[in-house]
Amino acid sequence: MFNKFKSAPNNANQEPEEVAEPVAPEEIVLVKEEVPAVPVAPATTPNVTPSATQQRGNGMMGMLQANVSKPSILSEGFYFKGELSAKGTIHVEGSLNGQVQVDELTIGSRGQVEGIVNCKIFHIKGRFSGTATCEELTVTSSATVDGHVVYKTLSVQKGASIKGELLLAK
Amino acid sequence: MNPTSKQNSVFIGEGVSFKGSINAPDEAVIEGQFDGDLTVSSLLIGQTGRVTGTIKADRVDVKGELNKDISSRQLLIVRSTGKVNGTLEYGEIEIERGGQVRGNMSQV
Repeated sequence: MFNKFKSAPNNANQEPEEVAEPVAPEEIVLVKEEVPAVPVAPATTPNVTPSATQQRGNGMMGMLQANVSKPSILSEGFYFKGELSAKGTIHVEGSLNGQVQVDELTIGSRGQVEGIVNCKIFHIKGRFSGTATCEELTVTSSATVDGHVVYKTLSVQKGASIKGELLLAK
Repeated sequence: MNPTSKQNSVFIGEGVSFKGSINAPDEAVIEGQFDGDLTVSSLLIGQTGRVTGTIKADRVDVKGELNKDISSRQLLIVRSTGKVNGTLEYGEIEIERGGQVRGNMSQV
């Protein structure tokens, strides 16, 4: 089951590369990346690189995930029940019920998580109920939190709904 | 704006310690220490301010410390230097990164 999550972002990353091969300008980009040491190229380099970085930015869905490699995504409509443990990032747009142990957990605006969460960075845009232990907690305006959350750093946007207990970890 | 000159408002400066109850129709700005019951429309706790007691307000802005029973019917803002301990009741809440909140929370 878990492999399925992983394969989704992998495919997403492969697609642009497959498209890139037949198109001529993209091939130039690939060459350019090796070239910079050669002084002859600078005239064309600035024209090509911005488009390449833009494409990468769009591929990342415009999120602040520069240091995050390939989040595993539980997409909308997906219901997962059980125990989940991973290094890296999990993005939940569907429904997750159970125990989660992960480095970074993001509950998207349509996501729902119920149960016990153990993570370092916890972003809540959707619904969370249960018990969570994290270091960095971010609750955005669309979020609903119900339960027990232990945190070290906290930020809550105006409009968020929090019910239950917030505790500061020592 | 000098908060001491406002009508229907109260200002407790830094270094001042107050015990008792206050009922102010408008605003309370607390930079010192307050211990007791406070009913006010808008409560502002400065960085040096410490408030302990039963607080009832429409809007609360915390840069200092706020303890015990807090009821903020409209908006509660906890700034990055703010610390809130106790039972919280709020309409809307906003916590800046670094702000500390410990306790039971419920939405009105």
